[in-house]
Amino acid sequence: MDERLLEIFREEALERVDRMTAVLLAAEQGTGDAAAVAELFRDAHSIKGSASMLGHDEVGALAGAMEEVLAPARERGALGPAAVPALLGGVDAIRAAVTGDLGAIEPAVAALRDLLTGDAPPVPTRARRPASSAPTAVPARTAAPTPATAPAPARPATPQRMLRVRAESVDELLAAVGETALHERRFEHLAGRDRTVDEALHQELERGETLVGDLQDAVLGLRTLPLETVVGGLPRAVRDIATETEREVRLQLEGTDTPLDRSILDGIGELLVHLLRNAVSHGIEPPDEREALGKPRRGTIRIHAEQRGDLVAVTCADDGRGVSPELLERAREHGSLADLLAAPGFSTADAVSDLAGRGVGLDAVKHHVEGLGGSLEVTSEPGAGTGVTMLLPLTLAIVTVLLVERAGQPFGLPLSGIERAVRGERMHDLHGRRSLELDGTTVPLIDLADVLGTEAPALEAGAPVLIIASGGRRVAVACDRLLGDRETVVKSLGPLLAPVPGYLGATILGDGGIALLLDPAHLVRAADTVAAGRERSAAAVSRPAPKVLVVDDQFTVRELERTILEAAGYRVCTAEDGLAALTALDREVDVECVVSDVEMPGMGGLELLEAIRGQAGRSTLPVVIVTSRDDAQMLAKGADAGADAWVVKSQFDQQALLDTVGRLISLQ
Amino acid sequence: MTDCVRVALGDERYGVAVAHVREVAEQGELVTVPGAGPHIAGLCHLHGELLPVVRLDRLLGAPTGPRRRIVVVEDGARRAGLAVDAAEEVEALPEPDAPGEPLTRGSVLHEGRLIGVLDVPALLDAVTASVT
Repeated sequence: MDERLLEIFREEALERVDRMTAVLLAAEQGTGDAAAVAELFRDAHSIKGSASMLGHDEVGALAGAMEEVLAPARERGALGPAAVPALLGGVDAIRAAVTGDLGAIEPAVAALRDLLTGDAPPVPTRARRPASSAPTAVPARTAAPTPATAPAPARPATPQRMLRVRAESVDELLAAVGETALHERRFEHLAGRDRTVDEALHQELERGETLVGDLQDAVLGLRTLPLETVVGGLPRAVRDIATETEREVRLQLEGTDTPLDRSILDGIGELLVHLLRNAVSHGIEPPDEREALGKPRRGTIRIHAEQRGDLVAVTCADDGRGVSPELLERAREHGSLADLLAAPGFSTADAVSDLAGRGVGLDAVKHHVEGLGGSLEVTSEPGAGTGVTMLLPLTLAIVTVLLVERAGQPFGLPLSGIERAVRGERMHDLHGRRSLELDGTTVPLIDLADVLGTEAPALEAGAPVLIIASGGRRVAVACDRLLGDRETVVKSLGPLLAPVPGYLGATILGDGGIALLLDPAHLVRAADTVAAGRERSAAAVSRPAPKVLVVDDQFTVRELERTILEAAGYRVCTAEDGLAALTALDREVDVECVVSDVEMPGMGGLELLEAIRGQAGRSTLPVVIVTSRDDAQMLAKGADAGADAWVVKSQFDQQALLDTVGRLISLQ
Repeated sequence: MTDCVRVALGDERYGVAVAHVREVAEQGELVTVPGAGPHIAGLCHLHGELLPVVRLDRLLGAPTGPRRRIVVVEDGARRAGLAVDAAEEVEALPEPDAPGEPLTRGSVLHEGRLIGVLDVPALLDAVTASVT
């Protein structure tokens, strides 16, 4: 077995047992909530999974016994103090086992079994060691005290020297190195201007640049590792699970050279084991059943990884039975198959198998992936198989981009989205749209400046054109010049700019400049909207922007709505209550839509609505009611009074408001 | 009393609660972000991280003009640089006794000056709302 895998398992297991100890001690004191119990259960389940994957069968069995004790507690949402001593004994035995001492496992399993069969001694203390009574003290991992009854260590650990570092520290280091590299280049730039500087200084500067480059690579290396570093144990895990469940399974690994951020990679091996367990025991049918269905006796499970823009998609897909059509139907009502399957306690297997457990697999996977800021997608076809995709963020992954320039500003495009670069020579115009002749066919041609909506001088004849492919469609994007490709660290634009469409992030260039990274999918979509935008701007000249009246007693809400609507091109007037709104309507005769709050001092929104409906000439004026209350009674009242649409504040998002107002105005 | 950083926009003065201020820095070179709306002056980088720079003057209706410095403000995970002429000093300002203009918690007369006390979360909300 790979020593590195064992080391990772040890580190993870120790982290988990530390956390479990703290929760158990709290439960013993009668504190601790349902979430803590659920976490305890997940930790035990995870240790069970990775231990059996690595052949630590004793630890796996022990963690499984703990899981069994914890299952009813998870259902109840509380853990009684009676079970704590045996569980603590289990935790301590795991801690000892991963540092090489298996002696405490047997008594710990026995104590847990006693608890399950109901004849537990009142205070079983035999498996408990002093270390657990002091949870804040970090146990000495290489020198765990050996209980008197224990035999000599059965599996002596050969400790590899590892350093546990906070991911933030590596980020800080990377940032500092980046700043150093910039400083170096500025220095070089300054020295280069001075002709009197001698050759020796230039040599030192060059050496400095190389050193900083090496340093940057080394720091990046701390953060990223290929997926293959965590999949080494999977074939073994699949074989074991398949043997136990009497299935025949072949595992295919694809794209395992995809690099992943270290902090994300750390838990992925474990998640993949969860997914494999589900795939084998819930997905793949028994060989005879498969044969009867005309499928090969041996099922196939594919683990496939690929980078998709600023995400890495890791998929585990089987060719098994898939979920039932009824379940797919329920999923459609429920929102998504992933949410349904990952609901706590949900399992697609009717019988609880020793291996797959209680459907906790997907629950734990979803929890983990979302904790990383990612998401889970599940697709399934009855009779044909199920695919689970973990979409993981790539906050610090390296992307190779092609840098291009338009109107003096550099932009980056992921090289993976570019089919090729050509000179824009053979172009055709039709219906006011331009296309590029390419290999006997045409591709829609757009100017990068038009996509971005920026002012730019006209492109020169023969300007470079990039052929971008995304989602099966192609578009040709013209720019001023190509600046070459380079490996870049993708940085997020941050929460404030994240809603701006079209960007995957940005990267800091060697000269200290910033290049925005363009999303190929957005460019392909832009091929339609750029042309449509031209038509819109022509129409806008003949008709002034529609005016919207915003009514709300709260200043911030009013201003928020005003800014949203103005940014979308509407003219906006405001009023702070119903009476003021009526006055405003008399003054501003061209108001085409009213957006009003419900509860306001003086005249509220519903009274305003009735007043408007009662006025000649305004009975069809669209009124959108914004309310903080999502109750059926209010909705019914509003509908009676003639509200055209509702926007609920708790779900308030600007797109909902804009869509609603846009729809009502265009209906008029 | 709240400790505030007093910033200058032309002849106008505003206070930003120190609890929201991370640092004051030179405004480096800005890169425009097409599509980010009228209130975003651009993107700069500070200590290796990207930072959106907000046209505070436009948001507040103050006299507009080129600005040289930024006050880096934070509210939870949201962070932005507010473009100002200068950060003058940190002073304790009394609570405004009445709500005032948009995006402020009101204004106070302090040592002969009228100072608008900025409501940083509301400011960032307004920026978010204007980002298309």
